[in-house]
Amino acid sequence: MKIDFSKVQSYGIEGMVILFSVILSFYVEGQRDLAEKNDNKDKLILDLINSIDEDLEQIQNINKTVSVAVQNINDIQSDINSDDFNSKKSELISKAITANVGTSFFPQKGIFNQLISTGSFELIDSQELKSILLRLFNHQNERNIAISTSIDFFNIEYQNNIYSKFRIDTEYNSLDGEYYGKQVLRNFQFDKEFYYSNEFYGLLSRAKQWGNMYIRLLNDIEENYKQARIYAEYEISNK
Amino acid sequence: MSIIDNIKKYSVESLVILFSIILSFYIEGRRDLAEKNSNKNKLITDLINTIDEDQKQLDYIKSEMNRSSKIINELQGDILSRNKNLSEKEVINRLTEINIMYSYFAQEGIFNQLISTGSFELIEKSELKLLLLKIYNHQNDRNTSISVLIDNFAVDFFNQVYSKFRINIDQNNLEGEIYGVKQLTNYNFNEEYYFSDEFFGLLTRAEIYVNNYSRLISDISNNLNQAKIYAEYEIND
Repeated sequence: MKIDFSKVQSYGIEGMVILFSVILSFYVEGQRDLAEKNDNKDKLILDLINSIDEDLEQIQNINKTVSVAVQNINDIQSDINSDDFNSKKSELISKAITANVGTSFFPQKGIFNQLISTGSFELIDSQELKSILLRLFNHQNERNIAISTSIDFFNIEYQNNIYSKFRIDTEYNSLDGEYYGKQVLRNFQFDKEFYYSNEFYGLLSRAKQWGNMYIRLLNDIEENYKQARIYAEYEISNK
Repeated sequence: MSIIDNIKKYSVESLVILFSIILSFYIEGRRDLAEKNSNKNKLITDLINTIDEDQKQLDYIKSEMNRSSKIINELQGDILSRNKNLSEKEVINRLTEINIMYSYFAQEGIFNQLISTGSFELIEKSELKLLLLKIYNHQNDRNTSISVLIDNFAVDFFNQVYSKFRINIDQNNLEGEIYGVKQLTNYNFNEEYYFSDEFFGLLTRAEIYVNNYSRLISDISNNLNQAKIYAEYEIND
């Protein structure tokens, strides 16, 4: 059999042209695909910024509620310390029922979960943003759940004591309050012995301690959210 | 053929191949996007169906909460009046009818699927996205948390009530929406405990949990209604 070298040369060149064209088209498609994924990632980051704004609003509401609770506890403890037997006890009992340190923050972690499950998280350029998101939605989220559960258990004990010892009856205003409505004192019987007891004083101190711990955690989370928002804005504007 | 002719020929061939493949990728991309949008719309339709189911569940829980709140008010009114408007049996019957531990459990499967398949990002209406995040992240977690808290309180509540009044019941599991219906069979009325501060405080706490939970599920119900409107708009638009 005679080999026609001119045909081999021709097929060889055609083969090379086809191979080059196919590889080039894959490259172009790869670039388009990457651009699309980056575009999706940017959309997710935009949604993340929106959900961060929502979460920041929630944190501020919770922070305010818990701070008011801690202030109420301080007022009651000051009254106990002052030995002022003529102070208006209905106001103090009202403060005791609104000294609710058990209102928790729940982050909207859906966008973060989507970033992880769609693989878009790896496309984030800023290492700082990735680290802070992991800290917020893993570490601090778990810590928040853990401390919230502890506070909830404490809150059962706190309410059990004050509602039984002072025979408290309340009215409920469902329109007031950010998440759960508001209790308004209707009636009570003042238990002087319990009010001035070490037991009640210790209970208030523990409530205050939980409140302060939670405020500290919320402040840390808030700072990280604000920082994450800055990194996120930088991530989508820095293209 | 000269070298220049060859270069021209191969360049044209190369461009034709390149164009054909890129065009096929483009067509496949459009088809893929259309399929993803179609899947997203199917998921939104499923979401509307689960919202309807969740609303039914919420309505039932709300009615149970309202009934429990009414019973607690009735009992506290009876204790405060001191003249015992209710008979002992009526008091015990009402106590066993209090259902503070009925919780709402959201059907979050479709939302999770929207997130894990990336279809969530294809939703055009940002109001719908924000509302779904609020319902299935924030409010769902808040619901779980307060439900666990109420369950823990309910253990304490029923422990007190059943032991102090030595209550015995039969359970009819064929009736009732979720857990069957209790029927009182026997009790010993403890008058001292009934009028005690401890019992009065216990009832107030139960009512607070009922009110807190009612408020939360009303908020969730309103948000689900709004989400349904946005979702219908999303698939019709």
